[in-house]
Parts: sequence; C-alpha cells; structure tokens
Amino acid sequence: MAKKDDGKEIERLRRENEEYKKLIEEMSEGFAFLEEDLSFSFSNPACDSIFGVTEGGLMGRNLVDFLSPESTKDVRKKIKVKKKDKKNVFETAIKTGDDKRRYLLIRSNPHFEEKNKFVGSFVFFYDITKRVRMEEELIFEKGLLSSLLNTIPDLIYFKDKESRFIKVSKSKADQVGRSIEEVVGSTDFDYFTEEHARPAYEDEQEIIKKGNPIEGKIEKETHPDGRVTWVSTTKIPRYDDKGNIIGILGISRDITEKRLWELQREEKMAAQKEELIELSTPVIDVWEGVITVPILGSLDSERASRVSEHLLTQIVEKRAGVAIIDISGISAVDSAVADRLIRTAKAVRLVGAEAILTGVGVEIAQTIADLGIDMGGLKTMSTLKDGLKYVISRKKTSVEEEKNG
Amino acid sequence: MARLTRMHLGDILVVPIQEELHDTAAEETGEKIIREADNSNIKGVAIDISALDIVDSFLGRLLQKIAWGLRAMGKQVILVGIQPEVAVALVELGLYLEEINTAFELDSALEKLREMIDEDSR
Repeated sequence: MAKKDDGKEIERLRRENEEYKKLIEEMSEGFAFLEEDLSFSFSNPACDSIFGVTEGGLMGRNLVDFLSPESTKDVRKKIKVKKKDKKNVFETAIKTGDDKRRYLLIRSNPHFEEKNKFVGSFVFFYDITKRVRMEEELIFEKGLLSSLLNTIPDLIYFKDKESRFIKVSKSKADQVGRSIEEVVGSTDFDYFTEEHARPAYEDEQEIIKKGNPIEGKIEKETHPDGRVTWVSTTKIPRYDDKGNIIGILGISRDITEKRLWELQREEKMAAQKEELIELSTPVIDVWEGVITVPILGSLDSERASRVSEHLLTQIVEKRAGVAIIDISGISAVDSAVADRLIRTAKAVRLVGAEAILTGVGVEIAQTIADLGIDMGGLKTMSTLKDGLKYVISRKKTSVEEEKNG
Repeated sequence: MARLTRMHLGDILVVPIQEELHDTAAEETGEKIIREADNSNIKGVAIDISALDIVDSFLGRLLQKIAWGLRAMGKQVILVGIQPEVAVALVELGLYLEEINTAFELDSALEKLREMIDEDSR
C-alpha cells in the first residue's frame, strides 16, 4: 500500500518537475543558475539567445566572459549577496557570443542550502536593449533640439491652443528680454502692444481652428516702449498622435534692418518718381498767354494723365489762351499715345484754351497715317518753331486789329 | 427746387450754375435756361460752370443738350470756367463738346460771345 503511494508520489513529483522544466524552457525571459564563481550551470533557451550562443552553449561558461572589465567587479558584487531573501536588480551591458552589444536588466536571487550556505543564484535576464537605445536616442534628440533652440538666431516658439508659449528658443527669450523659463506660460500680449499681439493671436487661432499654416508673413511688431521690429513669420499647426491640433509652432526671422531699408527706398523712389514727373513735364511761359509743354520719353497712361492734369492746371492758373504741346522728344507714338494726346488737346480746349501739337516729324506723321489715326481736327505743326511763328503772327494781327479797330 | 440765377446783359443771358445738379433738378434747370433764352432780344448765352468740381455723364450730356437746344434756336453759346478736373472727366466720358465754345472766365467769355454775335449778324 505504502509502496503504491510512494510510487504515486514519485510519479506526481516527476510530472511536476517536467512541468516546471517545460515552463522554464518556454519562458521568454532568460533564466539561469549561476554558481558562486558566476559560471553557468543551467540556462533556458531564452537565456542562450540573449547571450547569443547556441542552445546549451552557456554550459561551463562564465558570466564574466560577456562583461567588460570595468563592469565585472560591480556585477560580481551585486550578484554575490549572501544574505537571505535579498534580491538584486540592476542593469548592465554585455557583449554577446555573436559579438553584439546588448543591455540587460538582471534580477538575481541568491540561493542557500542548509546552514545558510550560499551556493549560487537564480538569475533572470531581460533584454532591454530596445528601451535603452530609445532612451539614448531621445536624449540625443533632446540634445539636438536644445542646441538648436539655444543657438539659432531665428525666433522659434511652441504655443498651446490658447496661444501661450510652452517652449521658446533662447533668441525668442532674448527678444523679449526674459529667460526661457519666464516666457513659458506667457503670451504675446505680455510683450507687444495690442497692434501686433491681437492680429498675431487671431492668426494663430485661425490656424488652430482650420489647420492652414501661414508662410513668410511680414509682421510689424510694436513694443510697449515704442520700438518697432519687423519679422517674417511662418506658423504651422502642431498635432498630437491622434491628429488633433494642440497648438502651433512658429518661426520668425528678424528682418527689421532689411525692411527699414526697403521702406526707405520705397519712400525715396516715390519721391523721385514725383520729381521725375515734375521735371519731365515742365510748363514754359513763352509768350503772353502762350505756354509750351515739351513731352519727353514715353507716354504711358499714368504719365499721360499726370501731364494732362499739370498742363490744364497751369493753363487755368496762367489764363493762357494757347498751349503748345511739343512731342518732338517723345520716343514712340502708337495709337494709344496718339489717343491720349488727342484727349489732352480736347481737354485743353474745354477749359477755354487752344491746343497746338508741334514736333510731328516725318516718322511720327507716318506712324499716325499708318495707324489710320484721325487727329480729330487738332492743329498740328511739324516743328515747335512753326508753332511759335503761327501763334506770334496771330497775336500780331489781333494786336494790329485792336490798334486799327 | 433751387431758383435759377440769371443775368441779362443787353442781348446776352448769363447763367451761373452754382451747385451740382442731379436728375430732375438738372432737367428742370436745362428747361428753364432754354425758356429764359426764348426771347428775340437774347442773342447769346454764357453758362458759367466754374463752381462745379465734378461732372458726371448725366450732367455732361445735359450741358450738351442745352447747347444744342440753344443753337437750334439760333443763339450763340459759350461754356465758362470748366475746371481742369471737369475737362478731364468730360474727355474721359467722350463728351468733347466740340461744337461749343469755351472760355476761362466771364470777362473773356462775354468778349468772345460778342464777336460771335457780331459775326452772326453780319
């Protein structure tokens, strides 16, 4: 009876043993028993694979074989804890049998036999290479980002949905005269006047609502102390991993110097243009009640209307009865130019003076004829001299008539 | 409706247009000028528009119509004091008013008108 029970007990233990063995063999964690000198006396297949050896290849080898000389002492100290129930968890790097660098999390449980004799350790190995690499990469990228934010002269800023700064470049912090930490949580309204802060805020809210970025927008920044700076700004939406917009990223480049130069140039050019028009359409008093306008260069529609206005004002102001428009200095005559000249002459007549077109040389006359333009009964003469002669002779007759009259 | 200011200087009728006229008021003014000139003693009409800074196509065409009407009645017409801006606007509108005489101011307008009347009656 007892024998039978023993047999059953043995059978049960054998089965249990089988199951444990199977469990250990199929475990995804590496599991091994290390002797006191850190040599392997048991390892499961997962452990073999972590160490980069063939199945059973760890038998008789020592953990130290896989460690760098520097870490050996440390690891030895951590595993060889001889106190009961003292577990040890630590990380270390190994060089595997197939020459790869791997990071392991090691959990060792010291094993004691009778009389608390330390005989070795049950050790779990976890491959944490991926995690360590990711951490390293993260640290690397963080380093890149922070070096970018610390050194780039362009103003870079991350804002949340309420347009509050959450991260800024050093240049941005410098621009508003604060430290990077101080800027976090503040808004444009804290550093600029309403004139700039309001439209910038509205731009950002529009981006957050619709997702459309703005690119290279020229912005005028007005500071509370009256200073004005100009920036070229690009702002794009920031998304979370689900695709929701969570704020904006902005990059602004200071273009104050360039912009001021541009504005100055524009102003200068406008003034020069004005001056040029004045200079290019002089109105000359040649005789009592007779004025002459020589037109030089090209006559585009803007200039034609300027000339026309200038001439008419002068006629009315000077009460000139005759206006001679000399076109000998004009560079080209086409139908549009001819049309403008005729219109000018007709306007001259309307205000109460007579218009005479002079300087119609052979070339211009031919062009006019070729184009089939009807000069509309406008008095024309080939040279300014002829025009003046005509006017003077007419004046003489009227003076003589008056004398005789 | 505003009253029409007018002056008779012998056989010449002078009509200054003082304000911008629109639509019916303008039409009425035009009619009044023609009625006023419908008098065998009146030989010429001077319409002074120097007070106008701006002329639209409606008023431009009305001036033309008045002038044609007066001419049809055998009267001489002269437009006085067209401002540069008005002249440019008229030309832009294509209203050259070529058959109508013009003068800077009333003085020279009356002189010109007298010459025209004398020539007419010769």
